[in-house]
Amino acid sequence: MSVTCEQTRVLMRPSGLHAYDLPLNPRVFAILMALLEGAAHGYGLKQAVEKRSNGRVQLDPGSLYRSIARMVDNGWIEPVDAPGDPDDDTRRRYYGLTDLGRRVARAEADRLRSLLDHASEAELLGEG
Amino acid sequence: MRARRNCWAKAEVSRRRRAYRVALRLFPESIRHTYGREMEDVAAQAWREAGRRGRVSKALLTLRIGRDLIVNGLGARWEEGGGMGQGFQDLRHALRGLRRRPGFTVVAVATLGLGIGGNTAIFSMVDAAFFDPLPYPDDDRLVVPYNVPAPDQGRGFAAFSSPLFAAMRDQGVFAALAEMAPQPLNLGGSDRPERVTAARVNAGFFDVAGVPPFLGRGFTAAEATLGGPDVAVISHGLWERRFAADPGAVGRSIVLNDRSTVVVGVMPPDFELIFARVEVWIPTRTDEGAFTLTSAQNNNRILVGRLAPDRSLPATESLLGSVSARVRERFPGALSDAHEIHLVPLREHLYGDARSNLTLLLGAVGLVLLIACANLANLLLVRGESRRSELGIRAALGASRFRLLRILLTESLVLAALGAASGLALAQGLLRLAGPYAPSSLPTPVIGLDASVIGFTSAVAIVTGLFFGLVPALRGTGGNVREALAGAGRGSVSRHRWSLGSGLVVLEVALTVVLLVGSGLLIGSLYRIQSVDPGFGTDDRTVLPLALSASAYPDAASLNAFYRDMLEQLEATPGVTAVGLGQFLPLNGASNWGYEVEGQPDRGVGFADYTLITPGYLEAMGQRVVRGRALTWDDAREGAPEVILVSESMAAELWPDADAIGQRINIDTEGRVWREVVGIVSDVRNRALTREPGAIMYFPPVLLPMSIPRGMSTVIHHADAAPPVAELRAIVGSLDSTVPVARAGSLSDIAAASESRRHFILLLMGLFAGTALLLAAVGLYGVVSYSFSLRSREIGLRMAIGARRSSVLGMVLGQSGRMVGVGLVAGLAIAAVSTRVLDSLLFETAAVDPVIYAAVALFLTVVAALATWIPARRAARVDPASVLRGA
Repeated sequence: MSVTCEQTRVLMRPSGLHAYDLPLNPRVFAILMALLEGAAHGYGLKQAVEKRSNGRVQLDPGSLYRSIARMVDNGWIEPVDAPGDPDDDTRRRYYGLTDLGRRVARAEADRLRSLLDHASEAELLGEG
Repeated sequence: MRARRNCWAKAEVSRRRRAYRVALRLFPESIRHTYGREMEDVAAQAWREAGRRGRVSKALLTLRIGRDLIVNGLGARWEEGGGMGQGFQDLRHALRGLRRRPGFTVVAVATLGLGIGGNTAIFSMVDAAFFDPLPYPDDDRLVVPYNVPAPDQGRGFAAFSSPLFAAMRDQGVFAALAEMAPQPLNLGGSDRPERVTAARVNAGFFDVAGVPPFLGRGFTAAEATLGGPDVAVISHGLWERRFAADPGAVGRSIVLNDRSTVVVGVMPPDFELIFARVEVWIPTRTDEGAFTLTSAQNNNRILVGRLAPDRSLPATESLLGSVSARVRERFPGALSDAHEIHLVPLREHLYGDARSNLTLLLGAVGLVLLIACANLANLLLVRGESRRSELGIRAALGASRFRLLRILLTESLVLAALGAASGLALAQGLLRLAGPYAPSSLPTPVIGLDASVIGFTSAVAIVTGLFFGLVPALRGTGGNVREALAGAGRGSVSRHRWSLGSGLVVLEVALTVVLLVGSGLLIGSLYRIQSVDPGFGTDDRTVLPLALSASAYPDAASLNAFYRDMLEQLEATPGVTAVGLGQFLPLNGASNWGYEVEGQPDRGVGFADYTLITPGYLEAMGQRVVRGRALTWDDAREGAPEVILVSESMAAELWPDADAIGQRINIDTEGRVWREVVGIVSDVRNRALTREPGAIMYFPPVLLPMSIPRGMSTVIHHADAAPPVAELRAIVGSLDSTVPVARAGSLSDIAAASESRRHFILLLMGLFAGTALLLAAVGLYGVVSYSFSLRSREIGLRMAIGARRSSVLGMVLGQSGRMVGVGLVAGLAIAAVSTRVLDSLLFETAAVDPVIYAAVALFLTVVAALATWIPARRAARVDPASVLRGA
């Protein structure tokens, strides 16, 4: 697999990620999170994200595939073979997380955690 | 049954899928190609699911998916295009392209600038009249009462008598009610006495305006009564002039009409209410116990009310219903039985008349903008045609249609922005230039970059840019690429493009005709007005306003002594041929008074304009004594027999069958004093040049019921050159150095000022029509030369096989003749219908005046022929050999 420009930039940093890419768009982050559980097709992603966020994040086809297209271009996700589910429509394309994608998701999660730590230190959030 | 419903649902889903597929074109090709099918599937599945939840959620989903497509489709295109970076690239590209063709750019920017500039200038005025808040808190609560003698006879006038004002005030229906009467005052106390514009106002005046004084305070009720102290509030300008802006000015004194007066307040800069340029406000001194019938008939003050917080205008108006009856009861005969008081919002009082004129101008200038747009569309169309090869190459190299459209639209938006910038500059210039000519009845906008004017200009510019950019852009990129490449620069004919261009020319010609007819009608009216004989001479007559204070000249005898001395000295000045004083000069604000005629009790009370005049006045004005005699100084003597002169029209109206000389008229409402008519004076147009001469009464300067006039105008008839004002001032100063001599004007200035609004509108209409004509001529020239440059091959062929030069010329002229002819006929028809809006501005000119219509048609034809002649000659000079070689 050829190394894209984005990858080079990310790989060159010890932290694994260039600050330029963060914070992630909440939709993109939600898709990465959903893919942590395994490859999924477009509609499955939509359902997973909407369910997990209690409907707060909505993925209509346009925004869903605009995000997917971009993530594929960035090398964060890639089309994969359908898991051998015989019921499934063979026409559907499945997407899986790449190693880079996993690191991007982790970097974002780290960023969010440090934000939350700050908030706790400032006693913005109640104990427990 | 169930199967059938299923079938239905499937059909619906596939219908939606089809629609979705079409809408997917919003996305860039790259995404659509890879993911389009999947997106369709996801959408279909979402619909199926929503369908199970019911109709409402299906409809909501459809809305959401539509929004999703637009936002993300265009967003993805934007990203694909490189985001902002691409925009800058387009911009640079557009600027480079425009710089490469300076001729096109200059014409395009100038065309747009003219349209947008005119629009902005007129819009600033419209803005001032319609939208700008008046400078008073809660300005929409301010109303001007109108005195309506008989509701079926017009809207009345905004002047009230003291007793009527007192009755309204006592009714207590307003939050505050101001009364104000203009009164010129002499401001003394320095080397050079000044004449200042002042207003007598009550204490309520300051409550109505709601504007706190800059320094000090307004008047108290105790100050604004009979016998109150001499106090004054002065303007910011006077404070700077007289007190050098000293903050301690309040409490110090100025001399007003020889009385020492304490300054209690200074108003903020630019403060005014109804009366402009007032520099001093002094309290009213009404003796309400001494009201007489005369005071009830003397409508000499204007009122402004502030509506009570919880009361609407109609409610307030109806509560004033009983006021007329109360005044009538106290002063029988003072008001008619039908008398009513109406309330008019202050803004409408100030600008009501101007609004229709402004709307007219806005309409006219809107047509100019439309013509400018049509012209630009034409220019871009021609340019687009010549760029087809360039666009073809770009398309061949892979530029999408969207990208090409973006380049072309950027170009027109850049043009629009440049046009708007030059238009804004032009508007500033136009307003500054036209400002001095603007009649005071039109609001003069504060010339500056007002946010709403900038907003308007930008909106016009953007809409214009899109409008004229889109049509040629769509056409320019619509063609087949290969065809464009193949046909590039070969001089082939593009039929529909041609007809779009000529359609635009027809539109331009038609709109230009409408503007030309409008201006023509106004010019016709002005010409007729200027040839009206006003009844007095306007040339070589200097006017010197003059006012004598009541303390130095308490009675008619002392006034007349001064007048007489002054007139004698002025008459002795070299070059002066006649001189006299008059109270109200014609066309300069008339005043009327009631009278009754001896022996004609059935006639009741009539009303006529009046003026006090000294001997010499009629000669100085160039008026004749038709019968009887003029007034003499002896008539002005106290105790002299009461005499009067009347105008010819008045004599003919009152005594059609008898000699007017020797008849008697009474003008006193308390007790009768019969005044004998001793002379009949030739008619003058007193109210307006457009109004027939009417009844005028001329009195000697003696004590009359309407009081001795303190303000008189000296009319000096002189030979060629007017005597210098300094000389006149020296003469007056030698008699009494405390009398201020104001700037001198001339009678012709006064006559011209009375028609200033019509002049101003004509000036602007003429400007617009001229611009329109220029634009239309340029458009015609462009289309003709363009269409024949495209047909040069055909013409060359024709000439090669023997067509004569004259027949080619005829072909070109015939083609332009058809366009102009259609435009002309359409324009004349539109004009015939639409110029009725000019009716109120026309004088002795029908809205459908055949002479003017014919003149416009002829004029336009000549201009069109000129605009066609140049390209036509060029077409006929085509060298067939070179054309065919180049093919």
